Amino acid sequence: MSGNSEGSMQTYRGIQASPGIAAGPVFVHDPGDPWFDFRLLPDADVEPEVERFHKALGAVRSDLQELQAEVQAKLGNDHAQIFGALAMMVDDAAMVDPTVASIRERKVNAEYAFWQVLQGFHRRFDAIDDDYIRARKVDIFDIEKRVLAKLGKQEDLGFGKLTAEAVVVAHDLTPSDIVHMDRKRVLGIITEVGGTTSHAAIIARGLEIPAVVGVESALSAINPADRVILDGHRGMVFVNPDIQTVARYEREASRYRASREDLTMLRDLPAETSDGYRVSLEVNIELPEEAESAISYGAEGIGLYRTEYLYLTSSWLPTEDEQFAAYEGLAALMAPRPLVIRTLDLGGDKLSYVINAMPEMNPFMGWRAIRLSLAHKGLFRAQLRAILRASTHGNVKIMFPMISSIDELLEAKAVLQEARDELTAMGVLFDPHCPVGAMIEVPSAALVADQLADEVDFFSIGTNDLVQYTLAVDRGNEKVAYLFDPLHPAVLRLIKMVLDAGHGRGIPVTLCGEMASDPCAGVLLLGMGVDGFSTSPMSLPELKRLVRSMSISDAKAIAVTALGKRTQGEVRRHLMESLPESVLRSMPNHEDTGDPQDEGDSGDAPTRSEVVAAVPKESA
Amino acid sequence: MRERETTVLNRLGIHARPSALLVQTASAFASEITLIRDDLEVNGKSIMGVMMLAAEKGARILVRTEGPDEEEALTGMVTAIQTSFD
Repeated sequence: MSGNSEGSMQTYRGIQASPGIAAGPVFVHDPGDPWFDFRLLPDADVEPEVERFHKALGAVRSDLQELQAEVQAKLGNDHAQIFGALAMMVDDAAMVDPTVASIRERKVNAEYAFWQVLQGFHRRFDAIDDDYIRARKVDIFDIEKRVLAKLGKQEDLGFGKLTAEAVVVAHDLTPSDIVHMDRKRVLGIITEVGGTTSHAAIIARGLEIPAVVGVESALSAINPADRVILDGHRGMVFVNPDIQTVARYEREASRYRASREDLTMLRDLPAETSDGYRVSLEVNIELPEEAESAISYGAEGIGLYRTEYLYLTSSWLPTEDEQFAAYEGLAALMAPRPLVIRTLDLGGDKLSYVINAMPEMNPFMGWRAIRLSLAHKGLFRAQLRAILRASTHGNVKIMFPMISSIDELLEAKAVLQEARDELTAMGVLFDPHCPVGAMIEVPSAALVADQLADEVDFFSIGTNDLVQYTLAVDRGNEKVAYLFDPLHPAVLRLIKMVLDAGHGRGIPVTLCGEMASDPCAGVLLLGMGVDGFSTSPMSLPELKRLVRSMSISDAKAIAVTALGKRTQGEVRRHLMESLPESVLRSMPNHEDTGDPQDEGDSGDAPTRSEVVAAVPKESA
Repeated sequence: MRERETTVLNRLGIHARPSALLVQTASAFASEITLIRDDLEVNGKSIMGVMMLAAEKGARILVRTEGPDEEEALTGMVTAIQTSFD
């Protein structure tokens, strides 16, 4: 997709990652290239900007000449010449003159003007049918980087520079990116890769930031000067939207706000079916700030606190005391509501600053989570001590991730006992009855859940990963993301196995994952007998409304039939047909022709048959 | 205005380093220097331009010079194109 020319709207589709609407300027985060912004200059600043550009060029020129002399001395003429060529580029009228003209005529900052001129060269070089010449692009990139770096005068290319509200556009967002963003300024998120359960999507939902992921060529299509409208419900992005689109989305945005307000009225009502069956509704969080949002949505607790964010957001390992401070703060905030702290669920690659980890071909099935913790018992005990110390400040529970066998679980419990013994020896208080649970997300654990149930106080089924492992699908791979379906009969059978095993031994089983955000799955899981759900804060009100609008006897009957279906498509159709009217009415109509045209009747809800008809016959 | 056609002799064609030499040569003259290949015209004093010429061995290039030292510029450029590459 080529970049749009100013004035014409371009529409792109991606995957709906987080609902809501965002509109505004963009902030392009492309860590491979130097960051810069787009600025319009007041008249008085134009000539100084031209001057600044010339100075930056001069600085790059002298750097290159120095380099050339150095390389000449060490490696001889041939190698040195390339720097000479680069230095020449800096003086090339074909680059300099249009840039200066652009700064003067359009009154834009040097970075943007220069970058635009270089894009033109990139394109022209791309058109040349000669591999070697096309390879010269790397020289252009080199100059581009050097000049932009001199203009920007920065070492850190991170998000610290988000100086105004904007929609962030990136290839992907890592957890550290997100933690470092000034989230108050992030209006929305667009990424090129990812699916609904990738980190960017999960965190966007947790922070209630609208997001669209999997927009394949977002970075080449969207320029720093563009404005966008992002529709998180439909997974659409409008670049430089026209007037009609802007107006339509203003209306849409206020409708959405109104419906969120309705849902928050549910906050203080219990999650109870019409015939009195009670489930617990908790939330998954990564960042302590999300806890407050969780409470405002009526969460009864935190069913999953992903501790890895503590490890990802600093450049050294968090100490036991630093961890304790985070855990204790959360526990106290949530008390008396439960806080389930999951021990480190990361791969060695993310901790390379302390752990000597070889790159893995398949980190998802590799050395991570509990395996890593058990291989570094010192680190593991430190985390466990921090959690145990926090246990006297609230209602804390410990959970081990990625358990795949009984011996692994027993080994983890042994380390936990060591941590307890250490604290006892130091006279530090902790709750000796702090419950211990296991995340069931590896198929082997589901299949031996009966063994595991004897050794823990609770199970939490991690459906995001369970689905991936069971169906052999990488959720971050947009080519196969469509295969990810929690309603696959294989997944349902495993869930049932875990429920039966847990209940057979009298322990509660909750469901932890985005599966519960889908009302169809919600009905099914309710009927299958889960004791609680832990999901993103935004999904909570819908789920509660679903629970309150059904009877458990109906849900059970629906579940029994659903479990007898052969394919995920059949399961979904059956569930859709069984959803209560009130829930159906509030579901966004996912059948989308690409351009929501008729604003006249968009206020009408689809009828049941329309919604059912919109479900593909055989969902992948 | 002077013109002459010449042939690229280097087996790699005009790439970054020889391009630099060409541009260096061209920049030494006051005259305007244009290199033409098929229907693509580039400024001989612009390294980006010369690279875009993408002339491989055997390519025919028309050199055009205009200005006070156009005669010397023409000779200089033709020689450079024929001999700058090793």
